Amino acid sequence: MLNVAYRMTGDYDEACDCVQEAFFSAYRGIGKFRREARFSTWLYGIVVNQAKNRLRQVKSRRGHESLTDMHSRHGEALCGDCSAAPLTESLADQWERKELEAKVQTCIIGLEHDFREVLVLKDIQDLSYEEIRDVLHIPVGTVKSRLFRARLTLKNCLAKVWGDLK
Amino acid sequence: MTCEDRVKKLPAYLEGELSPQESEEFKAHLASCETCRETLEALKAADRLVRNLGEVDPPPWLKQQIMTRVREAHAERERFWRKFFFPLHIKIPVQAFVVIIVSVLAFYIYRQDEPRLRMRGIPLPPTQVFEVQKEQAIPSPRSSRSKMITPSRDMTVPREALMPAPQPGRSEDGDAYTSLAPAEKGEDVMPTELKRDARETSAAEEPASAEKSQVPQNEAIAWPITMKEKRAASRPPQTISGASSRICEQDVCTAGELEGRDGAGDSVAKGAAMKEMAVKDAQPSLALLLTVKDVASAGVELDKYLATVNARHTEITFHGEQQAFATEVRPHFVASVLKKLNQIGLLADHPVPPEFEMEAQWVKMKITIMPAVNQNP
Repeated sequence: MLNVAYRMTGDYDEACDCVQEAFFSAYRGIGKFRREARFSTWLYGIVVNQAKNRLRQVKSRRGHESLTDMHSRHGEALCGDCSAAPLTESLADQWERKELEAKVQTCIIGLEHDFREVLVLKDIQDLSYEEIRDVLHIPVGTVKSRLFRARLTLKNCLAKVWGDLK
Repeated sequence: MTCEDRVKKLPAYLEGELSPQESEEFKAHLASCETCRETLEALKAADRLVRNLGEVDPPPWLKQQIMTRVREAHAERERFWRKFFFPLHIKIPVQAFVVIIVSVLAFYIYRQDEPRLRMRGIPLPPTQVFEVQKEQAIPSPRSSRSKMITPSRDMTVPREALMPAPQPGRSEDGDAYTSLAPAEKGEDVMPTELKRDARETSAAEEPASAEKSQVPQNEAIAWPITMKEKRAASRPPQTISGASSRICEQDVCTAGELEGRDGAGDSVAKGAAMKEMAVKDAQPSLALLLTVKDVASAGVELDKYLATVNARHTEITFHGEQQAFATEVRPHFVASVLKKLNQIGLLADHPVPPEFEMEAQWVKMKITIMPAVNQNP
């Protein structure tokens, strides 16, 4: 859940708050949970909604400051703090990996919210189309079209910040 | 289709979402177009980068913080319910209020259903009426005991059987339904069925009273005390004027009361009892016969009306299609009751209300409601 929240918001603290709120909302609204979908799917939905609300609040708080700028500023350090690095990795490799992840995260945050949530759920959390449909309450066709557009946009973004992706 | 259009479809091609025909076409194009091939490779690389992103580890305090919040919320919810129900200064008034509301509702519902219950013959809490017979000579307390025992012993007899049943010696022909006017004319206004019922009931009671007259004296003394206790709960006792100003029941001044006192008070008590009996004997009564189309609705209407004129000791008995009301009303209400009876149905031979002596505090009324069809077939 924290991973989804972090990939959605790009801010570790915000993600932690988001997860906290999501679990609390789930506790209060446990009566609304209908066993049509899996509990984790229901919980993903709450986390995604919380992340959306958080971003809206942050956006209104920061005024004219664009989210992309904000995340590009915070992303690197946060990703470096939170990612689990293998012990065998050299410092240079670790640094390079962190930098890469920060750039990818920046590009993910740069996506429109509708595309971002589909990309995070499909490519990072590896949910099926049907599960994403249940989480976001949108048709599978819409999930696919959003995913393909998100991937293209992300590829363009990464090509821009990373150069040669091959 | 241009390369730009094909690039837009590349993610779908990678995902295998294109039709076989489109896939074949894409393959052919990719073999020949380097730009599209490079774009495809870039897409695959971006996909790999995203999928290889590391998992974010939660901070150690996150779980603890979540659980703390949940526990706090749970405790708060419990506190709310406890606050609502636990403190006695809230709980007791709430419970008392609920009890009062329920009691008032129950009483209200009972009062509303009372006429219907009576109509259906469902027994209601007894209101006891004991009458001293008009024609009866006032006996000495000891000799009157056996006669007065009869109604009280019949406390266990159903109310329907007790109230309308004429008692022996009540009138010369044993008929309890002798109205004033017909009595003057020497007519018998009692319906045949009622008469039969009355005779059967009185016949049934006769052995009982005979048996009671032979009851040993100690038992005979014992029962009025019990009766007194019972009746004291339902009706305030009257004070009989006398030197010792003793409390005695209205119509049963028992041997226990009269005999169990000192010699000086005994004669006073006897005198007071006899005076009371005399007053009871002087109580006027009316027997009326009302013919109506619908006995049931007339009965309900009459019952309601009697309640409005503060009639007391109202008893309703059913004899087939007929209903008999035995009640007591104040003299100044007699005229209005007669007027009401004339409105409800046809009142036999009683157009003018008789005048009663001012001493009479209550006038006994016996109203028999009969269906008009039976009266005039």
